Amino acid sequence: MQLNKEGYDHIDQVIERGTKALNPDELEMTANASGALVLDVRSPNAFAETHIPNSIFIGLDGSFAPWVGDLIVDVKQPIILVAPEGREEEAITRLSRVGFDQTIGYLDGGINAWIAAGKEVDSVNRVAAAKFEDDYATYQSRIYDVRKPNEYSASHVSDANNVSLSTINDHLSAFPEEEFYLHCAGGYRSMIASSILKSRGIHDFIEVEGGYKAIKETAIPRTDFVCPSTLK
Amino acid sequence: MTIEQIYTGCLAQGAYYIHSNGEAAIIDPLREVSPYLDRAKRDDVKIKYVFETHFHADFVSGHVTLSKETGAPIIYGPNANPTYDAHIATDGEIFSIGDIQIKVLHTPGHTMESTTYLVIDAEGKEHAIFTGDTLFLGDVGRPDLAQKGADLTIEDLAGYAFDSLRNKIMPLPDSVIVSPAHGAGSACGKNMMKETVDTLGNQKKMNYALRADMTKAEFIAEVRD
Repeated sequence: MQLNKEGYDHIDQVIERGTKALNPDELEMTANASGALVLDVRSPNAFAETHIPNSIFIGLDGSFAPWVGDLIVDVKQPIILVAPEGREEEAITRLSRVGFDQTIGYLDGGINAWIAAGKEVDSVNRVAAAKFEDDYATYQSRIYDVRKPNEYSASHVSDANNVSLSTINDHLSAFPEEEFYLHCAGGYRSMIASSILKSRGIHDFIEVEGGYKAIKETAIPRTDFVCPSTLK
Repeated sequence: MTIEQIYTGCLAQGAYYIHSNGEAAIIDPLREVSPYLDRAKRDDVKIKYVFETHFHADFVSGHVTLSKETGAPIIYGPNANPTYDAHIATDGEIFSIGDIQIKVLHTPGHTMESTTYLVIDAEGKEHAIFTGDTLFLGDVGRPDLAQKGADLTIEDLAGYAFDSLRNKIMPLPDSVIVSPAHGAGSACGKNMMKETVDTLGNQKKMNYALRADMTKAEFIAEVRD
């Protein structure tokens, strides 16, 4: 990381710059003027229910900083936060740990302020594993597992395709036009993937709440488990 | 002597606070440095050095801020070339902290400036190593993350890592405590154990990369897997 070689701003300055409350109009104007990324750090369920169109989800309650580092290419990318109330500073600090110093504000009053202002919202079609079970036969050739290749090799839904989250930006053409299913291990990474797909104009998919962990509790056919350490 | 691991789960990162007789050192601090300053204040000790095991690729280290706020110099191992003021140590150089000593073991491989810091206690016993990303519990650091620009291939770096582990680390006593910069979940290695400290003796039994009969070619092939 170049910052470790060249030095960086004091974190207090980074926090001061980031903790700027923006109302919905200001958020829109700032985002348009600066090309800022709207980063939603709430829970997967909250994001699924309502979010700002084209915002990217990476929740605080998960491997937040590593995913930010993995998926946001430019550390100088300006970021506007949609955070759970009172956790804005935590988000800014955790972003700065991995070198993302350009948080330029947060949505004041959170998503509720956005809704109250009558702004456009979007949602993710998130369903329980039981619904996936009912749909399995119909969607069998259009199931996408976004876990890592070694998790997929260990055991996966029969006939599922593997496009791991870290490589999703390079494999957008792998996703079909027809509606498909998307899942990960527990419902965190698949929500990140959902937000990326939607921001790239891919909206026609269903995401499984609880991921593979929940899928295992259903009768959906799966491959036999292979212990990862025995894999080459 | 106190050695404390300050572990951050989200990044699976371990920073270390070492204290002996009124003086302290911090190894691989995270960016927000108040926890280290508070810790030193609580013990009423002076932070004398800030050690960096290498240029981290996965997080911003707090060394620059910590050095500014305490006046403690930043120490890197050989081959480091930061653009701010730092003391670039030589292989084998010794630093005193209270009654203990920290010896620089240059262990290139993960990156060319990667360095392991060996703690020698007041009785002269080799007590612990801070291995950065050179040696994890159950794994070794990936040789493919080094800063671009060096004319080295992944194979070259893996070869250096093999030599560093065999010549610098494995000859140390089995009782030495291994304290790495990362645990399970970090992107810097693949098979890391969930524990965050272990003895070198146990790692020689558990860690595929330290097995006694391993050849350099096997090592290079296996770390790339």
